[in-house]
Amino acid sequence: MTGKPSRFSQVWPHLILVPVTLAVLLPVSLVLRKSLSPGQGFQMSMNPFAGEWSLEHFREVIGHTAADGTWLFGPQLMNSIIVSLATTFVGVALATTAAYAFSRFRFYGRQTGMTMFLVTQMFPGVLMIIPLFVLMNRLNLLDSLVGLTLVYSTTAIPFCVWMLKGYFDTIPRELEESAIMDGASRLTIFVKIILPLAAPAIAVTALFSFMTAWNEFVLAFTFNNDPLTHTLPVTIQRYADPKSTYWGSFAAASIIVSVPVMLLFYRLQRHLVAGLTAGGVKG
Amino acid sequence: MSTAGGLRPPPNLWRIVAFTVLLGATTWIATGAVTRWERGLEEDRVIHRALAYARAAARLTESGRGTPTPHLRAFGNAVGAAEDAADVLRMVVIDTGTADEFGVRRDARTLWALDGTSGPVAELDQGVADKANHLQSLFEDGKRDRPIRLTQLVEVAAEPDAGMLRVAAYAPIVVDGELRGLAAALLRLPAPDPERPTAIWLLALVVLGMFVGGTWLLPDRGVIVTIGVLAALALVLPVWVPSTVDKTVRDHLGERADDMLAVQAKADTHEAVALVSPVPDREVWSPDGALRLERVAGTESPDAISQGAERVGGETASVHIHPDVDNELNGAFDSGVLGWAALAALLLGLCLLPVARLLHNIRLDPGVYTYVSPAVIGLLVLVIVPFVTGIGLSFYRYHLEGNAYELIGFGNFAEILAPDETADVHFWWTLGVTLLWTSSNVILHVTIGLGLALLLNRTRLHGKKLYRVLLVLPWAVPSYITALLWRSMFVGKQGPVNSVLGGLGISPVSWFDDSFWTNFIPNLVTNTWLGFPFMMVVALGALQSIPGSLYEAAELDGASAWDRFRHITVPLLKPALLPAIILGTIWTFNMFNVIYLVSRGAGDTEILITEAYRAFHEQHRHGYAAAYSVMIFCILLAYTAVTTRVTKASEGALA
Repeated sequence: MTGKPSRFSQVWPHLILVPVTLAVLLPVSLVLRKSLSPGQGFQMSMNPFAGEWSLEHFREVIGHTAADGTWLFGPQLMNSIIVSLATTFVGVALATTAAYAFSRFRFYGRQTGMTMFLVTQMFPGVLMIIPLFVLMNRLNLLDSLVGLTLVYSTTAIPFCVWMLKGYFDTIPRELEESAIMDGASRLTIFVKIILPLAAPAIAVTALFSFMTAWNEFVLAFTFNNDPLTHTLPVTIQRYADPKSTYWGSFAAASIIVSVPVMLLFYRLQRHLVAGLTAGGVKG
Repeated sequence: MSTAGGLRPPPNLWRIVAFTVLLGATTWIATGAVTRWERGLEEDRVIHRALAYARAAARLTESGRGTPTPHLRAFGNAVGAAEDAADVLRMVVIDTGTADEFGVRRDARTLWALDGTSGPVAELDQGVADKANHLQSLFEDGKRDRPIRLTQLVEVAAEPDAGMLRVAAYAPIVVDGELRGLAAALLRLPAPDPERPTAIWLLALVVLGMFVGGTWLLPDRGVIVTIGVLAALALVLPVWVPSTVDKTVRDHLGERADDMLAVQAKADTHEAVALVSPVPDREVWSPDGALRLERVAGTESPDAISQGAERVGGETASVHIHPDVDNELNGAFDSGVLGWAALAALLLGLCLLPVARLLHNIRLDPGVYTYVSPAVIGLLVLVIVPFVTGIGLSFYRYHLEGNAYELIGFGNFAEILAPDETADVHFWWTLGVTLLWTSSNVILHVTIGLGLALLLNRTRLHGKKLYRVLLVLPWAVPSYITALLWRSMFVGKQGPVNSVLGGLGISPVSWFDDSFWTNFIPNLVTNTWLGFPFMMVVALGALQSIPGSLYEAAELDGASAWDRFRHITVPLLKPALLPAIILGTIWTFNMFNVIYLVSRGAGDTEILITEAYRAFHEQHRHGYAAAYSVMIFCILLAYTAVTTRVTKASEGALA
């Protein structure tokens, strides 16, 4: 790395990176092309520039209505947004406080608690659907956004707690100790010192929670029966149903759903690396 | 921190108070639970019967395109013969008539009633007509595409004077997508015996004994006790679950209450099965949002059903509802429930100890626990309880016919581990596929991710930022979209994948045929595309945290590029990569979307999780599916335990 790099050492990485990048971009470009061509056919052509262009699929997806003319796309988009934002808020709020306690205090049940959080990552989702359904039914939370939000938040929490705890561990305790000397309360320390310092990790946690909720469809489909309480993934999944042939609509809807996530993703990408690795590096 | 030494037993007085309170609470809860359970069981049974009757009546009216058929009469006779006349308050089919321009419905008529009346809606049936109007408004009030939940069609009301419960169940009659009428069945059940004094006192006694014993005999056995509690809950919760499952879950998952009727009918005469279609309608979704009912192709059409009934028909047609079937269906719960309850109470008693200790600590230092409790409580209710219930289900066998759960101990596990010849997919094969799937994926993810990270970490690389932005793209795309997209790319001789292969001089492959590899490879490709960015980002982050000075020093000492990688990069990457690999392994092991959506399990490419899902969703073997899931869980638990112990990757984090 010192000295003058040869021409070859400048070029060869691109020989690997360019094909890989193309392989990454190819499916995305195909789906983009599909969404912009007329027809619902399953077949995709290799040449992204041949053929006609049309916005019909976007119009279809956005104008998606129920049989009696109720507009479904708008409410479903709102559902997705509301559920995802609420999940992010609830998930992050609960995960930060819990992770802080796990990182800073020694208390009875701490070890059990941490292990419990890790173990929940291994629960197969299938095991949970029946009991969860029964529970939601008892709590009268079927067909409601609140129910989905609660389930998604709790799904997201374990990962977030572990990640945040790892990050909190890297924040020196001396900061807090000196703040205690100055007479600050635990809560003040948490809000004024820890939270701002942990901003990158919290951003990643938020992104993770958001994506959990935004992309989930099995539970959303199982719990919510009324199309007016569906989230967008449920509808998209159905466009691609083996029995139906709505690939154009599927492509257009995929793009509509993916774009917000991508924007968020790239907005937070800088923090992603810091947030994900800090905990791990510290171990 | 203040409670590091807080494991001392609480003072005596406090212990006695806590004991009394807890004992009282336990007894109170147990009493309520047992009573409710008994009641619920009886209720469910009647609700189910009522629903089955209503739906059968509706079905038979539908097969006559809205007018009662002779078979309806035959059916009515059968019901009348099977039920105690006093328990069938009313069975009626009404035509809701047509709405005028103000939406007021006119000309509602009673088409048929068990007691033979028909004509304008009688006062007796006014409630049914009201319910029909309500349904009509659900249908028309901008919610046509909303499938009507069975729970919306059931009313349970207690008759105040006689202490009887009245159950009313309704079934819509839909012809050509229009609600034409409503069939209703009003049954009543005797008030359940509210008191079970013996059981309760026994329970209380056991709890008392266990609490005393537990507190004094087992000073600190937190782990054992926790396991015990989980086991207890596992055994008890399923008893609580099925009564509710009964009402809603299986209906929601596409089952129909008339399965039960079919079973009951089958128990007596085979011909009678034809009378009530045992084949559930399938809900078919079309993107215009309308939900329509479609008969499964190749099964009896309504005509065939009518013919069947005709054959039996006339006055001899009868459906005897076998009295024993009812008992058989729910009898599974009655046997041994007390034994389980006693065992549960035993373990519950044991668990009071750590709970008491925890409560004591919370009282000493409430601040700490307020931070943790919201997350823990949420997790407890929405993750742990369903999970434990799921474990419990694995000890039961679910009978679709009659919707009953039978306790069979380790039978499901035995069946999984030693499948007989008739099993279509072998557990060990699936396990092998899962291991191959997980290892090949993780190896590819790590190799590609790490390789790209090393390239991107080079100081002088043009377009570094652009590459990074583009390469994490797969991570940002929702995984189910990726899966569906890749499937479509593999399909077809002219499809994108085969075109690329053609460009490389390879002849087109017929993907997704019956062989293993043409299904496995698309899965693998999809998941590799999906998963490498995570590893890349983690590796890149870790690489960036390695100070460049280390490399410079090594270079000055004459270390080769390989040496630098081997002795600087690898050791310093390890702590960041290992947790990511463990997590990635768990995720891949449970990667449901890709297998389910790409190969759809063709060519025996099912992995454990999709196999479990199919057992649950397609074969309705709830207990078997749960047992499968428990196996998955145990495998992952063992894997994590071994890896963390061997590598001590999360040693610091677990401490």
